[in-house]
Amino acid sequence: MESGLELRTLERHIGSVKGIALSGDGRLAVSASADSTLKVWEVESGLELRTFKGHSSIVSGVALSGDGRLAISASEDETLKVWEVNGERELSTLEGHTGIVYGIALSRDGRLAVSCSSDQTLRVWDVRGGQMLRTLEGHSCNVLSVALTENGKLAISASSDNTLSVWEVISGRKLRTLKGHTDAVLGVAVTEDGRLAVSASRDGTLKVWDVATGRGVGSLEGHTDEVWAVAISADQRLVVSGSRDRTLKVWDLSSGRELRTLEGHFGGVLGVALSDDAGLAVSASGDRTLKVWDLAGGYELRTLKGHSSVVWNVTLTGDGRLAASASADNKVKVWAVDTGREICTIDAPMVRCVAWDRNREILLSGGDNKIIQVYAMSIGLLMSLARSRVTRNLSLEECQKFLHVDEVPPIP
Amino acid sequence: MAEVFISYARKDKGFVRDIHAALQRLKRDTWVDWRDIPDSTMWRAEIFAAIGTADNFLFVISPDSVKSWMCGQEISYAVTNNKRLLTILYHSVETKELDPALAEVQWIDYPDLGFEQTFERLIKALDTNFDWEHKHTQLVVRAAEWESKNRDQGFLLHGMELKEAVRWLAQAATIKDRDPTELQKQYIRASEEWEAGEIQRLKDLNTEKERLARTATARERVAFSTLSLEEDPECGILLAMHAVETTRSAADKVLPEAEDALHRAILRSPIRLTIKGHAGPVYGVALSEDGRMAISASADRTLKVWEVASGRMLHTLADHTDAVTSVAISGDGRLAVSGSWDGTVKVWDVAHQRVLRTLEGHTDWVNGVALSENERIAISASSDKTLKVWDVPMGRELRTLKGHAWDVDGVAMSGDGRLAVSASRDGTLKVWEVETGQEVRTLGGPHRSCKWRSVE
Repeated sequence: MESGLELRTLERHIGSVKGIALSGDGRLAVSASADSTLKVWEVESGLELRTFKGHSSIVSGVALSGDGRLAISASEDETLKVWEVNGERELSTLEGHTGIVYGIALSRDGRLAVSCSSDQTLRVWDVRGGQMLRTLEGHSCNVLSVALTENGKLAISASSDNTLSVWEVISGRKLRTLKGHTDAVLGVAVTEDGRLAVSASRDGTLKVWDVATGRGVGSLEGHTDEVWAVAISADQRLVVSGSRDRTLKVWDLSSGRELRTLEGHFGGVLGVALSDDAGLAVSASGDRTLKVWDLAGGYELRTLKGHSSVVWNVTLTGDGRLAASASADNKVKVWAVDTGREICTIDAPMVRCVAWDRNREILLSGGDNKIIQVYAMSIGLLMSLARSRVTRNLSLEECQKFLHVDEVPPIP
Repeated sequence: MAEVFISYARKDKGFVRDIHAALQRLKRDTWVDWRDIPDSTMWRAEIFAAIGTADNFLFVISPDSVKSWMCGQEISYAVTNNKRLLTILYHSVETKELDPALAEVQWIDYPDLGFEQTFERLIKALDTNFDWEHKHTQLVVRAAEWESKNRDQGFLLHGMELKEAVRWLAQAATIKDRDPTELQKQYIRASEEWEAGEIQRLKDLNTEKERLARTATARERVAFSTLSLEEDPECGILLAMHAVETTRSAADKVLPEAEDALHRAILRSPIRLTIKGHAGPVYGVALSEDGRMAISASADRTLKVWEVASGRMLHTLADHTDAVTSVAISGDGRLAVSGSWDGTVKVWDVAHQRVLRTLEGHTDWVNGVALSENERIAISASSDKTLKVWDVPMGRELRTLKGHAWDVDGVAMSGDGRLAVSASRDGTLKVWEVETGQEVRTLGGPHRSCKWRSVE
């Protein structure tokens, strides 16, 4: 302003601009236009981020909340509208990580989530409230995987600094570091009673740890390449691992014996999840598919096809009926495990990982955009969410055009 | 319920008495009308009722009965009610005189047989259920055919035929010494099962047809929802909800595409609230610093105060005498400044909905207002081509900023209150030093409004 130099021109509106609001940090601008729309701009780059449509007449004015999350617009259509400025969200978004979100673990009641990231931290979230409760710092490298004990008291994280860390979730205190792997640790799982943890490493081994002492109590060796994923059965008897060698291996946790090898994938196995009764395993692979395995019989039940790129991660409901997968095709897919039918697909840009709560009411996804999205997964929750989102009913004209009825039905 | 109703001519009463007495001796329930002149309407009704409930209708043939009008009535009633007809020839008649329905029945020839034998034949006829026997024979044949064709379903009974067979089977239980064969029973049961299966299949087909129709409707709604998303996300949500409901309300599995569409629509729609309440176009809006409260300025001459989270209206600020074009709000949201087409600027105590000051001086519409962070200075932009700087606490005009060649539409102030920027219809932005009223700079380009971003 001192120089009076015009820095940038933001042009895209069809009608004249009636008002502008700037966010407190000056990063975003929202403009109101005679073309009935509002536009969100990134001031620094001059990029148009979003267009808000919904007013039926000239938008004469706009104001932004101090945190830049909400905009309120005034229109000649005699209404004011409140808008969500920050991107798309369903139930809520958990924001705070400054790097890629690699893993998410949920407590049994689905209220608490712990996530891990390339920003070298873990974060603890109040899922319902959408609030970050704590940041767990201590790793010196990417944190690639996280597991939570059944009671939600302890979190165990795996890092590319070759170590695992045990954390007390409530206090955020790091209790101990588990050392022994000779390369990055890519996956971790913990038994229901929280006594033992099993880690999967790029060094080709899985290691069993006594969580209380931090001592290594065994090594599961047999994979011929990097081990990328691990899961432990609810009865604490079985360990299932996924490897770059394209196989899954089933291990006996107490003896460390290899029970069987599950072959079928044409790509490395990036994720594995087990049903509560340990009857089923579902694996996610670089071959773009997921496979459902009968663990007792050691055979493949079916292949879940639909993703068009690498499947990063998979999560299974406790009853083993629904699986959700995260893929590099920017989609989260939900599958009926028994039929292999695809139930729904959610657009999830840059997604890496998914986690389901036990009651399968909500699904969390995290990824390269640093954000954790919370989705409503029960149709009841989704419909009530939709009801809370709409601020009007269909007009008679819309009903005639879209529903082919001559009276306006109530909002479902 | 009588076993037999006897229809006769009065002249033949003697013979009928003998028949009746013989039947009584065998405890056969018989209904005979002994009255001589059965012509009253009530009696006739009584007679018809008796025929209706009797199993058999016995007609005593004689030249008199054949000619009797009442007998004729009784016969036609028996025929229309499907009664089993029996006849005794008492006195010879011309066959052509006989009712056609009776002519088909073989009579018991009394003149030929004499009373003893006539009665014997009558009892035998009463004890023989011709219909049942006839059906029995029919079913034996049909069942055997079915059996010989490896019980092929094409030979099963259906429709009316099956209904009759089922009735026949039920009758069997009420008739002495008449048991259906095992094969007949199987045949009828198999027919019933097959028909029930067919009915179910048709029902299922119909259900499936309706389900497919619902799925098609849901799919169409999904398509419309997707189409609407870009132009009107709320319409997209509503249509996706209808798509979900189309299948959900019928207890079908919710159509996956419908669920997807609803996820998509919810994600895409940025609208959180539509606030209604003004009776005219809304020209301006301002938010408190915490974002909880908004104040709007409207052509309905009022300002309204809103709770943003709920959209609830808290207050209405009314005092302007023309459209309110603009509003500025203090950080804590307690003070508001408004500009109006009535040419004034008003300072409001928001909580008490009170006008603290009315600032007069502009000679045309006020189009924009700004308030300094310390709430001491307000600046207004007017169609009289000037801006005015006001001392808010004192309610005094401090100075007029002149320089624009046309209407001034908007104004913004720096956080420290030192500089102001104005936007005018003359196509320029001007930067002013508030303290002195001096024009610091003119920026070109067509501008309507401006907002200050504080720069260190």
